[in-house]
Amino acid sequence: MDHETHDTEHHEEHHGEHSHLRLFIGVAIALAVLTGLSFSTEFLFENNIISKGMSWFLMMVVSCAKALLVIVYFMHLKWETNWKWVLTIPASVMSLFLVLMLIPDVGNRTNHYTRERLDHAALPTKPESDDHATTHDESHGTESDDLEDDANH
Amino acid sequence: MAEEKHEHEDHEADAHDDHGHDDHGHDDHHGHIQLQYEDALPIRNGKVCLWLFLSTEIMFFAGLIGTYIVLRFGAPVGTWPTPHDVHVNPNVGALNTVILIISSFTVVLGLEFAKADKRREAKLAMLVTFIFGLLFIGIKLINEYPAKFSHGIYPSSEGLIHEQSNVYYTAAVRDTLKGWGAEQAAPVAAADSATDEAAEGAETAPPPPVESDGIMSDEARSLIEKIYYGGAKWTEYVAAEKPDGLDARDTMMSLAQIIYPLDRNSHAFAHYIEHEREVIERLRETASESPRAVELQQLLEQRDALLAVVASLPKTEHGNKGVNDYLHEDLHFHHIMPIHIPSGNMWAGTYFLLTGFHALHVLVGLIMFICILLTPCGKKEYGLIENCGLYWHFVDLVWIFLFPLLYLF
Repeated sequence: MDHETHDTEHHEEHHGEHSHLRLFIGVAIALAVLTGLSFSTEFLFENNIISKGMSWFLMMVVSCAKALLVIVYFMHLKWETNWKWVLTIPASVMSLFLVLMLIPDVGNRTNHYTRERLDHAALPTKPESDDHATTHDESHGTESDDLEDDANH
Repeated sequence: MAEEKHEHEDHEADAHDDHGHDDHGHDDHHGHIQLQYEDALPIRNGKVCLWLFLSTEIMFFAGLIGTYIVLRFGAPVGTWPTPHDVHVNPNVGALNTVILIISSFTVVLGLEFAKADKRREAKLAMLVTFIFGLLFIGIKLINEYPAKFSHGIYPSSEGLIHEQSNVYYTAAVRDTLKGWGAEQAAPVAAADSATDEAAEGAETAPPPPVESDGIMSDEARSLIEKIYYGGAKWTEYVAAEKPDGLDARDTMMSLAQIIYPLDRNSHAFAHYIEHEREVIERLRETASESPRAVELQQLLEQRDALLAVVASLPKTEHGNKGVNDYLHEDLHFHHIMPIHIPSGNMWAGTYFLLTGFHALHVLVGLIMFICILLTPCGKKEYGLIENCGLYWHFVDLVWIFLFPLLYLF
């Protein structure tokens, strides 16, 4: 067993040469810069340059890029042999599938509220899209008027 | 790849041998005896196990994150709390992200040093990693979680968070204040009108003993009385009289806003306060003949006093400070009133579940680093350090997704 371990170490050593240090520093800096980037999409949204959905999308893209950098370089998958696909692809597919399977539930939750659930749900104060618009007369708006009675008795 | 090629050459040599010299089949330097048997995977057993574990972890966190996405985007439109509503500080989240990135980098560094058998450097790198991991947990436990707990935000089926600022909320505030003895030295309780005396007496009976008496300053006591009469009682009066459905709703919203201000309600609150005089006039008209006119007058005095206090509260970047914060932070009162945060319970449930599980993983990582630090951190420990490093990178990976989802969305 020891002998085998030694062999594989040699094998790995052969691939991961000593000159990776610079690469790793570069990856770490890239990760920090990307964190700053996902922050800046928030500012772009605050200043009405992009929409909320767009800023969310950009943040997720940045997150995926960061995740890839970590997996490929820090977790050494770049230098591994083909076994890496055996483990990573099924896990990724299953996790992605799980999330996708849950997506219809997002729509169903809001489209099919039962009366009871509606009674105890949070009252929307105003639509999210209005957050940065200058609207007047919010307090006497028409939204959620049908929920009004629930709130009052 | 190199090995496969080698094997291929062996086969060729074999074939050649079989043709030429049959008697050479048993030779140690040729033939099938030299065939190399490969492991199922060309990596250490420990590493295989760790990667298997990580692939289950990927699905574990995918499940958690998927659930969060469903609950967050399935919440009624416009109700999910903004980071400011629930005391989430994106700067602190970003700081923690950078801390984890640096610690991931130092693990890689430690691994490189261990490979070159530079034990001291490897140990130093692992120590730095450990310290950064500790820093991450420290920020969580000292800054992040207490910021929520101190405002009554935690997952609980019977917590302080109310989804709606309705009559149940108002009653909860009234009961809480009553429990603190707000009714005791009540100026309103004095029975001015003889007709009301019996009813008033039956309703309020003897005031309950107040545990918090010893720690309540005069200022806190007077504020609590003001919010009891000018806030909760006043709101209940308006809701009961029902001058207009919207007025009742807005008064209840104003009570919640006075106690715990939400950004999204600040405009509506300011608008309502401006127009409260109109509500009061209408109430006066309906109350003029009934005995409740006296009660209304007394509640109104307390209402004015309360609004004056609220207007004089310290300013924050998002408007005036809430009474809860003022009582807790400035007057050092130990309890807090129920608060209104739309979808706040769901937020607390998901936030603490996701960050809690992540923090647990960080804790396990820290224990592993202690184990590594007890070894010489040389070439022999390369496998151990690599496994722990892989785990640690995974923890970093999860945070990469949690940070935007929980702090920026």
